[in-house]
Amino acid sequence: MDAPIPHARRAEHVRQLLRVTACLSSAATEVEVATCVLDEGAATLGASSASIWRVEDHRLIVAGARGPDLSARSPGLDVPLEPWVPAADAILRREPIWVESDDDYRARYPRARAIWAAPDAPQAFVCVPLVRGRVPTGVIGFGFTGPRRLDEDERAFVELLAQHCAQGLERARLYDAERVARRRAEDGRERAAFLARASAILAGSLDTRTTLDSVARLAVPRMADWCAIEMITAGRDTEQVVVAHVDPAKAEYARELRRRYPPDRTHGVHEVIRTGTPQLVSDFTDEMLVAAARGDEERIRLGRELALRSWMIVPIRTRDQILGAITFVGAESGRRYGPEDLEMAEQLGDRAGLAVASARLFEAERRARELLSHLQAATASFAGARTLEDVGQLAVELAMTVVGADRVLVWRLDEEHSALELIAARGASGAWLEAARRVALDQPWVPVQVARSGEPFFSEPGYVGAEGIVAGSALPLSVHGRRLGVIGLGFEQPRTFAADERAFLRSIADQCAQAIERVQAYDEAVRAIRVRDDFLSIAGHELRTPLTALHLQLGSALALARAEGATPRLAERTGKALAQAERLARLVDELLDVSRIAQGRLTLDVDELDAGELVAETVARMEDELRRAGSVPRVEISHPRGRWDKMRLDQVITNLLSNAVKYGGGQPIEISVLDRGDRAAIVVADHGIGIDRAAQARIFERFERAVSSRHYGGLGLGLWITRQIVLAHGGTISVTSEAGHGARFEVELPKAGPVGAP
Amino acid sequence: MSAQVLIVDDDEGIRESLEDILRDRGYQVATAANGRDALALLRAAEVKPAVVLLDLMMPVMDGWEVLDALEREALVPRDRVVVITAQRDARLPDGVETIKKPMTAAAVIDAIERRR
Repeated sequence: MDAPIPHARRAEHVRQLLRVTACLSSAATEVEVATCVLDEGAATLGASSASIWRVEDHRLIVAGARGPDLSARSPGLDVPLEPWVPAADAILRREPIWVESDDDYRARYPRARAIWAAPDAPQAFVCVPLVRGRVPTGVIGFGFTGPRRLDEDERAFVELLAQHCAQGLERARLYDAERVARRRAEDGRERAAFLARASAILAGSLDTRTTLDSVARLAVPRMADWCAIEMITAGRDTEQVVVAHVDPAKAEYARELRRRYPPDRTHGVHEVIRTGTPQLVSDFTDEMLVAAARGDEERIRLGRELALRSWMIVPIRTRDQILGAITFVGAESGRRYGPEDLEMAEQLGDRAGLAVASARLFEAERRARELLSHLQAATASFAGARTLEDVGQLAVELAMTVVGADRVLVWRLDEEHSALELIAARGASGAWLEAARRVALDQPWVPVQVARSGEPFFSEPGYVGAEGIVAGSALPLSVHGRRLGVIGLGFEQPRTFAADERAFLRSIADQCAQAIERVQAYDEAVRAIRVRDDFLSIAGHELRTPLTALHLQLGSALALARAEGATPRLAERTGKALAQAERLARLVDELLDVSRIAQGRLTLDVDELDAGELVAETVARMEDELRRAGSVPRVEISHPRGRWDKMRLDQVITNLLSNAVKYGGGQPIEISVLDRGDRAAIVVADHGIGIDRAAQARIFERFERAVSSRHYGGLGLGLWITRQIVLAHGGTISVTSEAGHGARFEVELPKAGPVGAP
Repeated sequence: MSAQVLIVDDDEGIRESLEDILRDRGYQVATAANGRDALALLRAAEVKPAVVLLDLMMPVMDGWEVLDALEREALVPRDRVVVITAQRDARLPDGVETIKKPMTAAAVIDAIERRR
């Protein structure tokens, strides 16, 4: 039976407990609680050591300790929650353990005593479980260097102390949880606000570059001391597109570091871009820097200049694609990134991905509109191209300016379909260009294959062409399956071909092909016309010489017939034959004039003339003809003088009068010459069948007439030649007429003569 | 004795027609089909024409060369040569009269008459 507890000691215990209570009331954390309880408890009990352990995950972990005991020397020490450990045993039993001596210790916990044997290890101790509700959450223990038996009063004190301690710890835990929750809420609110702002800013930028700049500006200095953005470019390459730094001068160091030491293919940025998994380095030490630099002093110097302390790399991604990565770096500010920062960074990365994707979509749409307008312009340009070279140059121009090709070649398939002939090229030179001028169709070359197959070619990443070309396309030029040639594009930078670009290029190729076909058809037509004109010229000259001889012979025959008083009929017939020869000569002259004018060889022999006099002469010469037709000429003449070709002007007047006679229906013909200041006008009007409005536009064209050639003879060249002569003089010719009411032709000529005449 | 006319033209039809017309008018006529033949006749003094009717475009030797030779060798004075040509703007020495093809008999006779 224990000795009665002296009243004074009990009172002391109560005071101690009150002190502990007072102390605990202001203890907000686990450490503060432990301090109160352990200090007060150890002092009251005269314990050499004191400790509080927390149950965590089937182990006991030291939460606070005093004295020379192992638990005090090893904060964070943990032991298994198993019955051979005294503190654990108290928890498992849910009752205090009282070990009163070393013998007792050895008897009850031999294993613990053996493991933790030490000169200053306690010989007696007490372990009381800390219980919240009915769940033990920890244990409090006091150790004594010698044997110690706690009396009932002391035991009651320790148990009360344990209850206070449990409550204090619970309060601290709740308080801590609340504080963490509050801080989380605040951080969360702040992050949400930041991300909302980021979303708003990013949503406002519609081009990729601006978007990425905004991301970097958002990150620095709120999230990082500096920030770099690496984007995937064409093919498998990446490119650092933005570097932002709190200290702009240091941004240059960062760029320099990237230039000199491009990111390792298998680490860092590349790894993040490849895997989509973010990376976090909370604490980057100088040793790590030195190790990474592998002895490169300059690299170490640059790295130290940047004062890297911590970083994280997050992917910029859309739902189905990784576009790049953002690196956030903590340096001067000494910030260290943790999981929450990483989460925030990832969110920023996702928002950046969304913004970049929208910007790219917008850019693609703008690009599509741009391509469309280029295409429309191209259509107009191709329509205006007159030669193969023009067509080729246009295609070259378009490919260079619109899709940024560095080399463009346009080939035409030769007539035998055996080789490609270069019609335009840019960006190629030297022997290579010479070799490309004519490429036989049996050569194993991309453009040749495209020409043969008719299938367009677009290079894949990794393509290697000739002369530094790393991307290319070749498109067949064909119209309705007729193969006409190939257009080849080369690029010195890697690139892929978006669907809209492919469509654009094919469309350009189609237009180019159509233009080539049109130009070739046009050339052929021009050639055919030239052949015809040459033939007319040769035939005309060949016909004219014998005609001249015939004319001379008939002329002399007529003279003989008249002079020697042969039968009058012989003279008459000879005269008629001569008239027919003259008509034939005029027709031949018309043909010669046509070829001369068509070949641009109408030359004027200009002299000072009186138009009135010339008209009077012509009318007089045609008197017989007029009379035969029954058309009375009514002549009204003034005498404007000007510098004209007499023979050609005579031809004009003769033609107009001949037409008036031919179509005048035997009605009178009015002929007038008018002086109009610096111009002279010759007007011939008849009252015959007239010309309907539709035909009026045609009558000045070659081989055209307003009436059927079955009823009216002639080559249909007269008015065309007339107009050409008038135009050569710098004048104008017009007709006013109505079907059935005659026609009025008016020629107006500048008195100064043709432009450029002497 | 009537005046002599030398016709130099590569076209037989023209030569014959002119010859017929001129003979009808009482002229003595000599003909040559090109410049070389014409010069041969003149150098051999086989003909002493009052007038030379000279075509320009001829094979073997053209009219310009004939004009040069006539001048150089003082065979026929320049004012006794009448060029008959289809060319509209033939460059010729001063004082050489030109009749354009197709010509009329009247124009040729007039040009000869003026030189008698």
